[in-house]
Amino acid sequence: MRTISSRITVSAVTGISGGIYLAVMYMQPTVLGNIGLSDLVMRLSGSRAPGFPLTPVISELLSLTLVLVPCYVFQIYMGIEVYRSFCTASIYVFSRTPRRIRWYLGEITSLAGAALLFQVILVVSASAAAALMHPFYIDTAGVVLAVYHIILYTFWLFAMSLIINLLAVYLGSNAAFFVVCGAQLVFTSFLIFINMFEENRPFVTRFLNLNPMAHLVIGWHSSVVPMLDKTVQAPYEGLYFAVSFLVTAGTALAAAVAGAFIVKHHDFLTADPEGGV
Amino acid sequence: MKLIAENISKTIRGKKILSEISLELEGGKIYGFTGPNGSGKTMLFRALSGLMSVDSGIIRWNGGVLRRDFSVLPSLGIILENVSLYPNLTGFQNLKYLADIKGKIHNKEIREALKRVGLDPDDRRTYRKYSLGMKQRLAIAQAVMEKPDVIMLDEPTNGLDDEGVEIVRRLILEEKERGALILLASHNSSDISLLTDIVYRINNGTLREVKGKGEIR
Amino acid sequence: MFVKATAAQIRFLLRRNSAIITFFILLAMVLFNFISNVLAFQGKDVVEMYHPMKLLLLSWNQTYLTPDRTLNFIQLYPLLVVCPAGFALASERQNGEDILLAAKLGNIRYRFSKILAAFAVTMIVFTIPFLIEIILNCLAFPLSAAGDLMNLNCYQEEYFRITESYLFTGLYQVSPYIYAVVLTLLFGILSGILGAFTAAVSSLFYIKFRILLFLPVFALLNVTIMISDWFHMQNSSVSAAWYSYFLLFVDSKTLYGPVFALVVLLLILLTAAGAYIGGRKDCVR
Repeated sequence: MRTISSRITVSAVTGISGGIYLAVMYMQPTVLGNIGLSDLVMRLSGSRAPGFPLTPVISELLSLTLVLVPCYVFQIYMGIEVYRSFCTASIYVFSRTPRRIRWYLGEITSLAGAALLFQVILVVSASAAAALMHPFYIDTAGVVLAVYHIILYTFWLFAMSLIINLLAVYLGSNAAFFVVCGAQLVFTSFLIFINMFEENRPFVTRFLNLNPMAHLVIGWHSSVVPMLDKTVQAPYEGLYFAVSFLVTAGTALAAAVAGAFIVKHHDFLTADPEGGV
Repeated sequence: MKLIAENISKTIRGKKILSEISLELEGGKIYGFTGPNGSGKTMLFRALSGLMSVDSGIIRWNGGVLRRDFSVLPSLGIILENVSLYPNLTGFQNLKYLADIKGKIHNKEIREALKRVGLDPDDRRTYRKYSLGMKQRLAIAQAVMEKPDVIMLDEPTNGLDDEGVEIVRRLILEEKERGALILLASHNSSDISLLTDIVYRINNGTLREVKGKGEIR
Repeated sequence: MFVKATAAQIRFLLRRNSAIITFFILLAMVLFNFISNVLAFQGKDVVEMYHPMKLLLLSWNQTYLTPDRTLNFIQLYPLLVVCPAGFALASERQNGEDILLAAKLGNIRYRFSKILAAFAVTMIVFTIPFLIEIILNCLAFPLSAAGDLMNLNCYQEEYFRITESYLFTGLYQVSPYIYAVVLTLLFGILSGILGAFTAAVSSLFYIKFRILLFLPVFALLNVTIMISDWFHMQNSSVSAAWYSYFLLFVDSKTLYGPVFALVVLLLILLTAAGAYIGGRKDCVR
């Protein structure tokens, strides 16, 4: 039975193990023999080294999926947190919940908190593990990028986990995960079109803004802050942090609002949508 | 305390489950619902509790409108068939989890509820290991433990031995004395004849009041 | 009785939505690939055309021209392979049907027949669409076309070196068409093993939420890519990534065939162990 403490435990364990895995696999020192926080943060979304952002070719996009595996594992666990209440003893739980929206707001607050905690722990663990393995320094741009990364990924993880929960009420947990995770993987593979149509700059700019997964690649972002722009050195024009914040936050908000509607109007016609008795 | 349903109807996948049902139910009484399998008794309970919306009509509880002013009846204890509890928890732990949702009662009341239905509050066996009768008793305990204003019992004596049936009947009468509004759906004609004040018969989603318990078959 | 029970379960699983929908998703991907190729290459002279088998969705060689479709498939495969039959045993354990079937067959026999059925259904779902594509390519494209999508001609040294690194290279040298059919069947078998493995996991552990059954295969396949990445970091040319062994015409890296065979054998043993150990447990809920 899940409580807030078990959600915290899941977030912490996945964050720590994910951070350590990412540090071991991807945080190699630069030619100078060290690694900076800004470089680390960019590698958390597929960059290979300073000045070598993620290139949308087949091998690197597969690597991007690997880098995001801790996030997908988080989605698997958190994708059933709200849905659980619609399964075993659903009638008994909801017959005691006259204010479903209030209950729902509590659940999504907890989910958002778990997503934030997971991201913070992931970044901190990856940094700590990298610092243990190689000379590590914290630069100002790195701190800002780390905050940006945490914000973007928190919104994204919250939105995806919540959508899995909501779809699961109708489709079951496996189908819901397949749809949501499948969509993310498909959009990740579509990033290859950037490479295929690289010469067509307007297309690339439009595509970057329309593909949701592009908003997660820190190394592709331009910034109005000169320090950040100089650090990131985005290879493509037109993808800004502000827009990415809007897209991810907007998706999270839309999911939250849709969820409120679903929860409020849900009819309990079957005892357990996951198929149990 | 009044629960009033005015012309409620519900259609699911083209089939009319409830057809313009009107009811006026008062606290301190036991209302029986009989009818063949699939007639709509459980669906009626779902609708009256707020767990299911209705396509037309309105349900009022003490002046408030269900599904508008509150999602479910504010003080409700319910058993529906085929709803289980958490398999890895003991009986006490299951009830504790449910009681903590509203936080109205504490360990003492939970232990009392378990004893009332003939279960041992200190039994360390998990729900998974319970017999059918024990599961049924636990379900009844969760329905009455918070002393709700409305109690809906769908086949409460299902799977119970003679002693269990007696315990449950006594418990239902005690709840009636307390002033609860009790809805009882049962195929067991003894339950209906011994316990209920008014009996309704549902057939194909339509309701009629059966006057006098002698007409129950 | 075991054979009849397994056959009945195969028929049952093939009619389930999960198998049908997965089949149609794969068929849609295959047809999209085929139609895209037809539109791209219509009107081309046979000397300019690529070998029809190198245009298959399962062909790694195709990634040199149009990587998006194969990449899409590689990304989705860890999720898709579990769908046709991987959840079957978990579903039955949840709603209690496993007790009814175990009562007729015996628990161990039931588990084995279910896992065997999961293997068969996954194999069928993951073979037929790709065999259909082979037939379509043979009908639509000239059989004498011999081009390679790396734009190597068959007299170049590099071409020999690359084709020699294919799994079952002897078969390729006899006939690329037979090579394609055999490796597609092998792909189906490997997919079936993964489907059966997922069902075996649910035999060992009671899984309430079927979403968790994506984890074993998802983790296993991604670990192979991680190991491959690690090899590359050590400047080794060995590939451990699953797609290097599952796909056709994989050329760029040296493949450790015997190790791969060992891993597959281990997977089969783990699957069988899962069925046996799960079947030995008491059938209580």
